Amino acid sequence: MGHAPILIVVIPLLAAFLTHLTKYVKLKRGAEIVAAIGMVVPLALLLSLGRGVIAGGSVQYNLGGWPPPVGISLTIDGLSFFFALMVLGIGLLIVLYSLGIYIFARRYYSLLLIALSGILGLVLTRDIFNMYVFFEVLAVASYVLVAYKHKPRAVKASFKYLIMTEAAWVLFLLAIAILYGLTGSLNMDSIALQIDKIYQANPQVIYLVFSLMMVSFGIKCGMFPLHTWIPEVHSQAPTPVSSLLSGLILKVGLYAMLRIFFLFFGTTLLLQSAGQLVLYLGVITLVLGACLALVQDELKKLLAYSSISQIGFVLVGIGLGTELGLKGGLFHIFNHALIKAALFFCAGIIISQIGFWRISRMKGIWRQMPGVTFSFCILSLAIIGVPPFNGFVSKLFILQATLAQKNYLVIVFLFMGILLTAAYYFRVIQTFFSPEEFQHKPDFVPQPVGPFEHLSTYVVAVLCLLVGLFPDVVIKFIQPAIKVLLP
Amino acid sequence: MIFQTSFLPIDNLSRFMLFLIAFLFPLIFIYSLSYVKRNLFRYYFVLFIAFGGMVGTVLARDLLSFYIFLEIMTVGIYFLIIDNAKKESFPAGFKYILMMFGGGILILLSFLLLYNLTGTFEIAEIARVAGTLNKSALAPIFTLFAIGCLFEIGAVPFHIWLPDAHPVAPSPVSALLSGVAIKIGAYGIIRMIFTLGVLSPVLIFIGAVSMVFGVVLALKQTNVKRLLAYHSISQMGYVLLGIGVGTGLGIGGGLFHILNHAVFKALLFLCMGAVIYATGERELNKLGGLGKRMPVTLVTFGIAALAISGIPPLNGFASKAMIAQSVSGNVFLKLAIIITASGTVASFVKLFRFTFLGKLPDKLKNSKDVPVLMLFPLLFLAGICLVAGIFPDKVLGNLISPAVGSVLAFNFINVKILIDTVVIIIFGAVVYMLGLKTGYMKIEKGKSASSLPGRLSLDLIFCGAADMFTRGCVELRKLHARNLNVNLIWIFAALVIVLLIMYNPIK
Repeated sequence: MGHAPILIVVIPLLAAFLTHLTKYVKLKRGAEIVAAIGMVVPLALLLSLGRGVIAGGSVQYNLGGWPPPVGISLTIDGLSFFFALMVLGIGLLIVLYSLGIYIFARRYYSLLLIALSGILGLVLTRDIFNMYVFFEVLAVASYVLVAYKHKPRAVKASFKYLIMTEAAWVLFLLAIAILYGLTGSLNMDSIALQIDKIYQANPQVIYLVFSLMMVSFGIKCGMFPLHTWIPEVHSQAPTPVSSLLSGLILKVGLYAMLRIFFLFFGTTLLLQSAGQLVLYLGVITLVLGACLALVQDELKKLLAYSSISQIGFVLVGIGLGTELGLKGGLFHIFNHALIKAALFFCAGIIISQIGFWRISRMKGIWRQMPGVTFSFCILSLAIIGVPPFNGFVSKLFILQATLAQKNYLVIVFLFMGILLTAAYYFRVIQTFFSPEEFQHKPDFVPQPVGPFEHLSTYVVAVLCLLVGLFPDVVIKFIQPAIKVLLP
Repeated sequence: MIFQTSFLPIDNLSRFMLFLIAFLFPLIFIYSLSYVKRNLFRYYFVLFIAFGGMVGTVLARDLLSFYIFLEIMTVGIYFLIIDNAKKESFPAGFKYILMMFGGGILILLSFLLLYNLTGTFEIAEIARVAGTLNKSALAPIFTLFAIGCLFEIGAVPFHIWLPDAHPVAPSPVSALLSGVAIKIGAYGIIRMIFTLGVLSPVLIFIGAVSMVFGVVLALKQTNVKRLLAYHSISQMGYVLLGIGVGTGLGIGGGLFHILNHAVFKALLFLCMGAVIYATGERELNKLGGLGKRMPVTLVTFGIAALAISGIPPLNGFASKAMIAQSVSGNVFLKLAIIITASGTVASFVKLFRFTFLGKLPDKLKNSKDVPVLMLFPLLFLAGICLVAGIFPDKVLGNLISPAVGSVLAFNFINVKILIDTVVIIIFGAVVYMLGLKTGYMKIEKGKSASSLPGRLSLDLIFCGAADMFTRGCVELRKLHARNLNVNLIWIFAALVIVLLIMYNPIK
């Protein structure tokens, strides 16, 4: 069991290659079974470490036995544990949704596993260059996933995604290079020890490093004005990939921001001004995303803009930097991952039945698809922040944290953001309940929707209610993460 | 659990509200059994969610649960409003949900501010701590909360959802909405007055404005349910006026009026529901002469109309007399009360005449009284109107006084009330004559004779602002670059700006 941290990263990677070998085995659904095992085993390993991590400890693993700062080390502490758990949970949900759809074959599961292993790796590693490598592993897998169906528009979107993310990683690599030059180390902890001294001697270079990282992570998490790739990529990608993008890949940028900023700049004065920057960019992001979602007619694009807006809420929580703010931010990361993944599932089911992408074509679908409509309603209420669902709890924490700082300007915008969220989701809901009948797209054959697709949305809808009623269960996992960030 | 709520009322005030809900809801449920024909599962599902939300709100022991159940009720009622799925249902529901969420967030903010001040959400704890705090710190919080509640009540200027939501909702839902849901806001304000011990004089003003405004617009309505909806605004104005005065008599009168209004307005909506059920029409110019065909509805509607007009011995007069007594010093408020009362009389004469009297249109020849399950609630509520009107001091002693927490005594049999009644009837007749003469109260749909209220409509202001905002968003979308090259330029611009901010030459 001593090797658990590295196994958590490697098993999905191994499974990714095994899925291709299932071609030679006479086994129905071989790829799906391998993919599920490739996620359940790391999940079990992770949970076996859970007790110690939640108590406030951490598990360190040195690759090849080389201790840091020489070797690469993987560490599972509160923050990594929270994110890794989320990654595996949402990953399983995505597999559940994909089970019934025949076009998602071996190649898809293999790429999905590679992407998840990339996220797990970058969440666990304490070596900053290693983090960059895992970012690229994730990125390469997800470019292919976005263009999985070979549609021209999807390929174009995938290209945009490629260019924008690579721009982010180039900036990140530059920042790493500067830090390496200054400190001679790639281990995060040892960089963090030296950064204070460098800041005293030469603050400009730290500003440069900070700005590079800020823009880099901003692109990844969809911060204004770097969010431009999100709507196109999310709407063109196949449904489960949209869920993966919105649920997990956007969160990667937030994770990097939390991990690196709090570790590197936590002791310097920089965190204060950086926090203000993140806070106000978050406010702009949340209002802008909501405004654009309000006038969107494509369902998946609306969900994508909604993701931008919700990330804005998270950024506000992170930017406040207080314990309550971080609690709200991390909770909202979790809630958004869960809810938005399932909302994309609902959108996918609806679109696969009627063939149109536009909301105005989805009139009166509740008569034909009551189940999907019901879960869509529950999920959108949850993300608006209507009690007793989970979104309410996280937004409550963020509001409370903002009020505690007496930042009334931000309160006004949060208020506006919540109201706009309600407006654009209820615009969709009322279309679903419209008395008119929807028309199929001409010469469109509705694809059969199996029980798995529906089940995945119901599971999340129930989870939303349960988490909203018993938020303490999730807060128990968030608390150690906050302890890591604010020691 | 993030919230806790007990299954027992916390005090006599919440017991009173619980009584109100528990007594009205079964009647509405029984009525629905015959009235609602489609989507039964969805209807009853959301109906019970709304019911649970209402009960939870009045049982809440801490402020967070109050908010949580308020929102649950809101969502339930939204789906009830759009239940008919007509074209107009959706804009009305949209308006409703946005206004409610807006008010809800204000309420939540005020609760969070209170939490920052006192460190607890428990109502009993807050009441204890608030006694030691400076009133000037509590006043803004109370104002914020009261504004939030005004959205829920539908008081002017936040009433715009109310006249739209009632006509499109199924009639039992209108009865529930007017009978209970809008009272929750008033309950919240009273609860907060008792907890914090502060009061805002603005409530009196808003109450008076709502009274006059509601009744003036009610006079010109041609849709039967819309007319009743405007009366809800006006009658809730009375309640707010009573609460705003803040004396035992005022709050007692307000609570009494909450009870009375719940009874007679639910009855009115259910009667009109019966008319709509029997005829399928809801415009006054298509109705008429139904009195002979629907005698039970005629009688119950007559009782309710007299009750809302404040004619003794029906229940409306008792609470109105109490509220009038509590503001007796102020000439303007007295004037507002007289205007409202006479306008109410006039508009109910109009509603009564054009629905039940006159010539029966040929289309409606086959209409007959509604099924027994719908008649029972009508008769029951009419009975309550009579009983509560004949024995107002019993109601006052057994229900209202405990809820307010002080012994209230009021002399319901005096000459002054009689004089007031006569005055109101005379003025009502005058208003009715004038209204018909000038064409303000005509029943033909179409361009209103007097266009001033149309132009100055608050609805237009709210919706215009929303439209402008949406148009702004469309413009924003056009500005939003999709070109990859431009997006890359944005990235580098962002990098430069972040660098500049960090270097901050001023620092």
